[in-house]
Amino acid sequence: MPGIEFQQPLLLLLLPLALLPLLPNRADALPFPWIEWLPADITGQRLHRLWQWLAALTIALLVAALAGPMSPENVIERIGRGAEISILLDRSASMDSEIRRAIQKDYQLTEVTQTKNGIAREALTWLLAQRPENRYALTLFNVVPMRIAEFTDDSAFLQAGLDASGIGRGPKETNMGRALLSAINAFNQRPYTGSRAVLLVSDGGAKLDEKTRQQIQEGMQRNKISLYFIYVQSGINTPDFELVGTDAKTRSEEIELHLFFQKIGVKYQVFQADDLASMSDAVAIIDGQENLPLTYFERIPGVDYSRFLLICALLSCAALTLMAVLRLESLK
Amino acid sequence: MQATDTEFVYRLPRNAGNNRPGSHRSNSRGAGMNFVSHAKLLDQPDPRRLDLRASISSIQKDWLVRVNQQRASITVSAIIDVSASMHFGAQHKKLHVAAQFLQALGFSAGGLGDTVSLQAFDTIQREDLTMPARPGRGLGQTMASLIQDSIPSSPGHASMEALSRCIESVAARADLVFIVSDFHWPLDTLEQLLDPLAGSMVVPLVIWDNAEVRPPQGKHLLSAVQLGGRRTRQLWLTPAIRKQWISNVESRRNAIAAAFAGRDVKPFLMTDGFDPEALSRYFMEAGV
Repeated sequence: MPGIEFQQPLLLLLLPLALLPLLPNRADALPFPWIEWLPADITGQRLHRLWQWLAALTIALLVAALAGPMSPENVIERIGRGAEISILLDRSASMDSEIRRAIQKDYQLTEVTQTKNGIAREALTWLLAQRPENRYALTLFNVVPMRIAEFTDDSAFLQAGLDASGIGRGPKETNMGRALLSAINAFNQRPYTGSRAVLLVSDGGAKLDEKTRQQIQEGMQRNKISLYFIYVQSGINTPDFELVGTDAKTRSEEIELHLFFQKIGVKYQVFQADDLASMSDAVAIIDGQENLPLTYFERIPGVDYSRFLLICALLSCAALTLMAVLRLESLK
Repeated sequence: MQATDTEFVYRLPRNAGNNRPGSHRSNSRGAGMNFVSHAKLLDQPDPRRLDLRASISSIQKDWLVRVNQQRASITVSAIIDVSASMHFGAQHKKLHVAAQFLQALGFSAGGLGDTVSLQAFDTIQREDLTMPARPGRGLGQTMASLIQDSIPSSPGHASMEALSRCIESVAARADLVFIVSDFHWPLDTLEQLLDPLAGSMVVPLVIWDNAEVRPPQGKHLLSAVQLGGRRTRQLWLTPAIRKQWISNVESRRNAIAAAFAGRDVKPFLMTDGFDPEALSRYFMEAGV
């Protein structure tokens, strides 16, 4: 039994008022000239006692209800699953192109070609279906970031957003700096209830100026966001992050971005995907990593009992009224 | 109060001792219709009443004169209980019934030439409500309004001591004493209290209100407190309880009757207002 707290404990000083009906009160009794004529009636006495106690109870309940009883606030430990993943999907024109591959040999089966965007969408759809308890935010970006969905677990909504990214073609330019900041800002002002990740799906890199880099770094660290970069390889000529050297000449925008991400100081992982299978693998790995149980504390607000007391008082008032209806008001 | 001249007839069971001419039989000799005896003319020198026939048949050959009894007036006293319980009443208070009675008494006594005195008591003897014995037809209205507009001096029971003082005030003066009350007081000392009235006829008029003698119908829960007291009763009015109530009233009536049985009078009970005819009938039936 948890303790009970009162919002207005001073009002409990009124509680002795409940004794009023128990006092020998003759104001509501009808004066009778010769009381000996009235037979002593045990039923009547009991009903009178009941009347008195009901009235006392009603007053006590009302006073207690006014004092606002509530169970104390609790802080309980919760173990949650599911992450908050801000998906940042490149929606520039290049994503609409198909992945270029090496010329197939005759003995190889002809693969069905898909646009990079289609592959990404499919993999992300799988993620949504797999982990509906995760909360996702969806941001498309090209020149400007477009927030499609704030954090939500409404997968139908997210799916609609993803599907919408397959319509039409995007412009050529991409502004990844603003897009990243937008994805990071999606976490601002949110309680930390699960692991956080930005899932960046893009086929290119960007040169970020120093100011943007700093903002991104600060935002990532402040919000404790892990970063997954799914790099959709456009073709056989795209740089391979695994072969990144220190040679400045070989650095492309993608490499530049990769190196920056590594330096941010948060958990960072890059996946290079060039078809649906590798894309799906990458998403599955991310899903596995971001599905760790998370322990956090939740404040459970106290339960207000005054409503319950008021209902009880109402019932007892109803009983009193019933008795009052049966009661003789005068001998006339 | 209606000012109609309701009246009732009352008679004394015995001859009145008063000398004032009136309408009641008395022991006084004088100008009356009731023949008592013959007397010698020499003893009773009233030649108008010479009885020639009796004189002739007289052995002593005396002149005989008829001696008649004179009818005399009496003094009637009303002792009214004006305690708080007499102010109770559903339709009208019991004192209203008492006032109706006083009005009729004043009128009737005036008609018969009797004098009426009024005494009242509650917890004390109410000298402010006292009227000395006097004749006159207009007395009834005066006494009625005096009693009806009275205010109890305290909310308690009528006091036996006060009643005793009233009785002493009228004792040996009144021939007929009405004690008008609801008799809501202990009866055990009553017989002793009435001793000074040994020579008078005492008529207890019991006034009860319908609301107290008949249990209310309909609603069931009754919480009552003794008027001017502290005792309370709570009743759940079932048929059994109502029956018990009525039987309690009945036994009280019997107790009052028993208290007056030694004086050979029955209490006259009024629960539905004052009925002068019923009171006349009461005097007839009393075998006077």
